[in-house]
Amino acid sequence: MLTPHYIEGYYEEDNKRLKELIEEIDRKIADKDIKLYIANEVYLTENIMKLLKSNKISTINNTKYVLFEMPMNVKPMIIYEVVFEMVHNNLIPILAHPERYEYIKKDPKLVYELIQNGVLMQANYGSIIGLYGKKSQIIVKKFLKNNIIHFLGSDVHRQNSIYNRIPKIIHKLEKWMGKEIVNELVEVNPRKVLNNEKIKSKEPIEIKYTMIEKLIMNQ
Amino acid sequence: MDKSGNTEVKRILNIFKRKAALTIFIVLAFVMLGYMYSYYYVVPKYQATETLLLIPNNAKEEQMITTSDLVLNSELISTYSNIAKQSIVLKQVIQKLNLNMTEKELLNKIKVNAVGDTYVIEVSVTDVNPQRATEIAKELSNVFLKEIKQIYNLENIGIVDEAEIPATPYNINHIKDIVMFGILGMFASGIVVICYYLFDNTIKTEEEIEEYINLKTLGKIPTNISKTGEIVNKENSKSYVTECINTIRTNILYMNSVKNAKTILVTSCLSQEGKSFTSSNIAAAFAETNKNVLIIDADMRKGRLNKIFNLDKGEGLSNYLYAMTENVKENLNLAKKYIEETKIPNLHILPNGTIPPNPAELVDSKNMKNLLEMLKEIYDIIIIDSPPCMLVTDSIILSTIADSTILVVNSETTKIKNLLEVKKSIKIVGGNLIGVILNKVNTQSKTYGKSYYYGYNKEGEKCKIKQREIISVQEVIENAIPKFEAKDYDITVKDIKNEEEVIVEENNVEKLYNIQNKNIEKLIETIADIKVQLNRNDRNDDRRVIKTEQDINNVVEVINSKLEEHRENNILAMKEELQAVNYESKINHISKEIKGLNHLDRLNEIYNELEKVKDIFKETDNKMEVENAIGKIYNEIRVIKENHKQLTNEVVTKEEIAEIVRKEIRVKDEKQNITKEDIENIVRHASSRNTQSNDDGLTIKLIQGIVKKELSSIDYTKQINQIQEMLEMLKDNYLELSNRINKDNIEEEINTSNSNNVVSINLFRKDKKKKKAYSIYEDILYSELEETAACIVPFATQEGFNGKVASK
Repeated sequence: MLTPHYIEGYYEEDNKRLKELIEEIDRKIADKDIKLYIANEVYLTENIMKLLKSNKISTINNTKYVLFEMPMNVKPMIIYEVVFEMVHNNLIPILAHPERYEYIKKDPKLVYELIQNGVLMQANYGSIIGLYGKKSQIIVKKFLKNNIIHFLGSDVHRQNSIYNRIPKIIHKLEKWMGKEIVNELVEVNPRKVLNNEKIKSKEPIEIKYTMIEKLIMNQ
Repeated sequence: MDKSGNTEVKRILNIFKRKAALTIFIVLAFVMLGYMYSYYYVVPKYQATETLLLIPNNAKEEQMITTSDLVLNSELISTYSNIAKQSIVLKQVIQKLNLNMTEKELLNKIKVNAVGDTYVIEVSVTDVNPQRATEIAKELSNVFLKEIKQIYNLENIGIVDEAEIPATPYNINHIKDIVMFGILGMFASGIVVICYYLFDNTIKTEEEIEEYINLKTLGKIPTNISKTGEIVNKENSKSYVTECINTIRTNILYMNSVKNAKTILVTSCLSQEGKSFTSSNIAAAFAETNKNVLIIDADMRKGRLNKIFNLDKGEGLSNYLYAMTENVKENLNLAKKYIEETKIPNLHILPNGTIPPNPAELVDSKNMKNLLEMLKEIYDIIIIDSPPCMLVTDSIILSTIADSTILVVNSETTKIKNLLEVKKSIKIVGGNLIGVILNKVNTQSKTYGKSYYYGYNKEGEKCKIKQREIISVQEVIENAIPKFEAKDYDITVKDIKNEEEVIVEENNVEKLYNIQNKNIEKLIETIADIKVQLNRNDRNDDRRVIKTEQDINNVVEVINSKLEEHRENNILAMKEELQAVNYESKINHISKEIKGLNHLDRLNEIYNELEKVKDIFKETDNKMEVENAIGKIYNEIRVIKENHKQLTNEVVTKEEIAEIVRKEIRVKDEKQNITKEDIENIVRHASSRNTQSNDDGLTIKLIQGIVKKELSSIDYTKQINQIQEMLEMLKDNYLELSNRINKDNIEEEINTSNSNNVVSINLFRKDKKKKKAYSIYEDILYSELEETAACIVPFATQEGFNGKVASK
């Protein structure tokens, strides 16, 4: 699944061009058993529905699932409206790497609220092994325990070595959480997204920090 | 008071919370210190104690102990104990044990105590070496006993408890030491927190802003380390700072969308907190979203936006405010002069201008309000950079004019107290404070930019969005001109209506007709303008923000097609309708007038009046009365003459009107395809379109008004019938009138030769000169009446004439 950034006003890649590029790559790797699907990682904007309707951005494999991200530093006030708009239009938003946002690290209540509003969550493989810092690692593990993560992603936007490490990470996770749950995150749920099927998610548990975690997160 | 007290307690607790690591560290450090002290610093000392018992001499002899003895002895015991400390004893001890110390040193180690009121004496020796301590204790008590025996001759004295080698040092209690140090540590951390509370009452985090100031944080900006200048968005770089600023932009947009706010005032408590930096960057960020943005430097004292945007210091806001007039168009032209372009597309700047003597008054003036109102129509977003609130009142005043106000807060330098004060003063004047931007935040998040987040490679840079074209000030203003003109239309239409009403009241048909003609021309022009505007709006449609897209898109399509279909028809129809409306009112007006003027009755009245006068002449000889009566009649005649003039005009105009109405009816028949339903549809669509854009609002109102009028208009055939009837009536009236007058003429043929009549006749003649353009009817009437009048007067002067008149 190819998810190039789409940042309104800064990084706008035309969807047509994207399709052409994907076709080109497809041709080049025709001999290998790899299939490419189009998608976007959309930077949160109030125009998200407009962009979708005008075909400037693409949902995941043209299904009802939309991958989006938010600003890193300050909670965007518009988030609830945008999510409502998407859900209202029969779309299912997926928030990319919730464990990386500063404000979520400080107060993870937002993630819980978003899930209640119909958002699904995708964590990064890299976060689990601490590529994005200790805080992200702590919180992603909490998320995984509390049924808050629905997918795992590589978050690769350029040449990166994370793919080599993914099997190890999966192995680690399987040991920690059990094969079934990991299989759901890595295999079942993504396939459902591709086929535009509904995902049955477990009831999320609200996150509460212990004193020590609070101390670490507030630093 | 209670609340602020709560905030203070909250603050102290929060400092504890925030500084939890520090407080815990301090306590732990003290505990460690205690441990070190206890184990390493304090030299362990051992104490060996010998217990001696003394019994006085006489006790043996008498076998009785009296209380006086006891007192005496207890006193003695303290004396004895002192002996143990005497140098005789000490010297012997040193000698015997071969101790390597002076007497003084030994003395420091010795403690001789009488135990309460008993005869027991405790001799304790402390020393680093436990063994030596015991030896000294033993030796000391031996020497002491010897000495006492010698001095006091005491027999009953002996050692009760011999000294043993102590196993543990007497002076060290590890647990006690550590606990003591722990408590000390807690005190110390408490003091540190109170110091923080007392000396550091600044804002640091967004949580604090929400908790203490009760304001929302719109965003935070890290300390800017950019070397390329103050505008971070300029290079299209996606750094951490840019992302922060873009977040602020979306948050402001969100906060503003609630109230449809356009002008944003950026201010702060004190200077040097980053107002200009923040406002210029936010402005640049807004400009990036294809909005026309204006940044105003309202800090007329020390504004530095020109520096940021690399502009020479020239004329600007202050000059503009001085130069402003009541005329919007002139003001618009002035705007072209004072507003300048920046290097950033879509971003224009109104610099602060020359420093005025009275900036606060200038800001408080009506001109400032008008200016902002005008600029709001031109630009999508206006950002106002202003002086600090605590130093001058300008910003507080501006906050009442601006739609929303933002405070820039410096992390770790802005004081909570100041913020609360500023918030209060803005609230008092009624400003809309939407939130706070936390500036100069110390983040460790520099890694975001560099290592793994937005570090796009070179290929990524290539697919940046296309460079936008720089829009000139002139273009922006000219694009906005229709908005102002739209307002003018509104006024003209209103004016026209008012004018007409006034004239209708004045009963002046001709004037009304002329003005109506003019108005119709004006309206036709207006319609043409509206047409142009409609076309323009169509062009601008793409730029509008559309909310629920599909619905509105559909509606717009329908409207566009409908409008396209009906535009030509509509405008033709509008012209005709307007004409029809005006003629209608004219017809109504004329018919009213005609009803009002019943010439026949009037003439009859005059006739009767004349008869009356004749009667009067029969009876009296009063000259004055006669003259009055003549004056009355004269007035009546004047009225009738005027009516005649109008009537003749009206007959002509009525026929014209009838012709026009007939034409209109023909046209109506031709465009029967515009049924009522169609028109209603247009109205409905137009009003739905109205919600989408304000520009069309006026046009639609106009169309609606006209169409409604048309819907409720009177049946034209009826109208024509009425007019024809009226015309016939008029003709009949005329006929009768002329017949009547002719009759009168024959009846009242009288000679005019008396010199006494000159005055009154001259009166008539003067009037005649004035009014030459009378119709034949009128001329006849005039001469007749003149003659009548002339012949009436002689009756009064010539006696015996009565009979003659009566016979005539």
